[in-house]
Amino acid sequence: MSVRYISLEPVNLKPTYSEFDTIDFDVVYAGRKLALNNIRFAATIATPNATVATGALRTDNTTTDFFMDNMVGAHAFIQQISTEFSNAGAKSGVAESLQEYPRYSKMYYSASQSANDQNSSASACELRSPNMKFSNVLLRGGQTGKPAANVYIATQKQTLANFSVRPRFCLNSVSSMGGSPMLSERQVGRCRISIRLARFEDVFCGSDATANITSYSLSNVRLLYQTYADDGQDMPIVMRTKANIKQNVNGNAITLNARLPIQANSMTASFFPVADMNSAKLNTLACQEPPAMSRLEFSFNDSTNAYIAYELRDRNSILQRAVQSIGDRDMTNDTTLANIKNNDQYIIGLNFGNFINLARQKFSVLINSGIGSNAQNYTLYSYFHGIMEL
Amino acid sequence: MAFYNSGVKSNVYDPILTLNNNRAEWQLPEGSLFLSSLRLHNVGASIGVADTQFNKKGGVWAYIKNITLYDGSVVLDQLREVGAFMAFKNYNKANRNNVGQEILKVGHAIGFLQNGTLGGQVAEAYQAPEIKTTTATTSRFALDLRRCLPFLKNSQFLPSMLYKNLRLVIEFNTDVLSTLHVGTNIASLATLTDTLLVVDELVNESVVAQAMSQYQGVSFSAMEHDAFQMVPNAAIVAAGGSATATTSTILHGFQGKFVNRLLMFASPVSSLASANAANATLISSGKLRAVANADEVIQVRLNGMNMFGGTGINSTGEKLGMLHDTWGMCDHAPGTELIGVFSNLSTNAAGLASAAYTQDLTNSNSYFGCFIRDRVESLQVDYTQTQFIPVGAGFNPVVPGNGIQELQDIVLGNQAQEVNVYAEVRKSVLREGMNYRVIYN
Repeated sequence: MSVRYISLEPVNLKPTYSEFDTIDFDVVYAGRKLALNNIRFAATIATPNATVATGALRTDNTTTDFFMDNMVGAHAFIQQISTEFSNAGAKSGVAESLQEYPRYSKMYYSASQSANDQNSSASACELRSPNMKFSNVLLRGGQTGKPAANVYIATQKQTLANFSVRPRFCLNSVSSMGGSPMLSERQVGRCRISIRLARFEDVFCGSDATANITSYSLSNVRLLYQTYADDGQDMPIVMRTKANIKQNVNGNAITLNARLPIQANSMTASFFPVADMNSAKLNTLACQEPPAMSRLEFSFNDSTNAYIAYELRDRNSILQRAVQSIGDRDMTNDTTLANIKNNDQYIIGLNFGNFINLARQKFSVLINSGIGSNAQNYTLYSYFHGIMEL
Repeated sequence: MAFYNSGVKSNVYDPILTLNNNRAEWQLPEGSLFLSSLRLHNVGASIGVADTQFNKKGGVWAYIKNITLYDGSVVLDQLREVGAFMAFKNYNKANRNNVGQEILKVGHAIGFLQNGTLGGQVAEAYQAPEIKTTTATTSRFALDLRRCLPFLKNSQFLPSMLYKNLRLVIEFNTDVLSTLHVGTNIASLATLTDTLLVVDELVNESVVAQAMSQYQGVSFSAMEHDAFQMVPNAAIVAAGGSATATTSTILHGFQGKFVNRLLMFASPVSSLASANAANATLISSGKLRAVANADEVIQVRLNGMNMFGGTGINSTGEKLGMLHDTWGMCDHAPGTELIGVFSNLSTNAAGLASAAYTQDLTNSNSYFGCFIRDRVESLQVDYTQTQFIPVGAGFNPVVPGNGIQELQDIVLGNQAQEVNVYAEVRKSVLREGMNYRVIYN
């Protein structure tokens, strides 16, 4: 039963990785079992701190308007995460390819955690913090001593900021009837996890993200996981998977349709203005409320092929349905209406009540709002929550 | 459960012995079927001088050195160095639970809220209840013994027809560097003599008979303790001095035992590194602090094989992530796993790192946790750290007093540290008729 802690380097190994880079990990567990729900992506933030002792965030505290989204933390580095199983096992191909992952994290943590809940070990190792200002402190890394005239002395001991995030992707969203879920090579063959790093403007924000700091890089990039001795028994495993779609909303009354290769039982979405998407100063992960939302209607055919339509007109009803759509197995993080309101975020969504094959039938959202009346278009980021059995 | 409406009564036992600041003992009568929900009420002390608090991380647990459940002279379960471990267990809770009630029950100060009026500081939620000068007014705390004695946690019943001479013994801890927030007040501390042991008893005879016929003993994970020291580097005496050293230690305390989870942390030993010389208040909870050392690398060698790739665990994020994955949610103020945080206004209430944060929390939560899940034949720990004394105006490791965070840093240079190691060890009490055996299995 003894455990092995694995610290896996990327296949395409480089000293540092920066925005838009893809990092591939071939997960090695031949002859053993992979412990699920505890797979972590770890790295050191090499720049903007140019070296351990120098850099824009290092010696001087005047670069204070430079932040990460405090509810997302280092999840923001992961623009896309894909999981692929090889042909050797019973299941093969891409199990999940989740794009716009930081926005999903933003929606999930905004619905499930308050600012005070961010005082936790789960948050701190992911550079999530109770407020934006503290994210600036954490990005500076460890520091000893006390500053004189706002400047630290370079010879005082310092460490670079680093993180160990547990991405909310399919291999970390697993349940099993047989205790701690584990995966053997017999079930899926080999496993490759690919991570594409987000662009700078989607990771950082603040006026100093345009003036003083314009890029980032990660070093010491690794995938962390544990393996156990293979007992020859394969337990049935159910993974929560996600698929997303990004659509433009440019009118007062608009219907959006989606077909996706997923068996989904809920859908969650959020908005962001198109005009602000390239801003480094603004937090591009914010889930903004479109102007004058007056009506929202979800329509689809359920598993018995009966036509279902949910019409929502009240703001609280819209948020309540959305919060119910994004909750999942993690009982320590209850999604609540209070959290999403206190975190000042706006999401929409629906729990379908049963699983619908979205590859065969269309899912539609009708939105009546003030979008378009002031020539400001929005992007709707929709995430469908499904399952995959192994 | 069915027996709750089948006759349960709560018995309250006075101690048979209370020696001031030394020990207290309770005895349970023979021939009863108790529930395992043993708890102590009215735990605490009064103090002869100014009102003070117990250690901010440990709360009233810091006042306990060892706690043992005996049957006659047989140790059924024991926790040694209670303060250090229970300080971790206080931290090992969700923030919302600590803020809700634990601060009042146990008297620690872990639990944080956003201070909206001061720019979003992380602030201690409430002040922990104080020790007062009279027994009538002093704070009294309540301890659930299942939190520290897994024997009780893993069993529903505690039958004194089998364990005929049950005794609970508490040895008190009056350490100037860990018990009280203002350590020097320890001289006038007086143990409360009316501490009560509350035990629920099943009284329905048929239910008792049925329960006893099914009682086979208890399998549990006993919490055992070992420790080693990292010695100061005598060559690091002047500002600018720096040296990296690895302390390699074989831990003999767990040999031959099946270990599930491991917890390890370094704490200061000296008064210079534990308490503020100017006012005797503890620095980041003194000896109950879990220190992050500079350039720290931890490697564990289990049965001759390294557990971690490369040189070992060398980043704070990975270390904290492992702790979370091993021990569960911890109430962690951001940045407290680091050697310190950058704050331009550490003495100003408007600064992000508030004075309370800097004094009580800086570099205090650098715990290391991992699974072993194997029988230990040999267990070696390699702990690498850099001791250093930074160059800088006002920094003087011998005569501190030039800024709060500098006090927190003293532990990092030329100071001995004790590394506490706690392990969950598989243990059982097996019933054999009306006798039993205690075994490691």
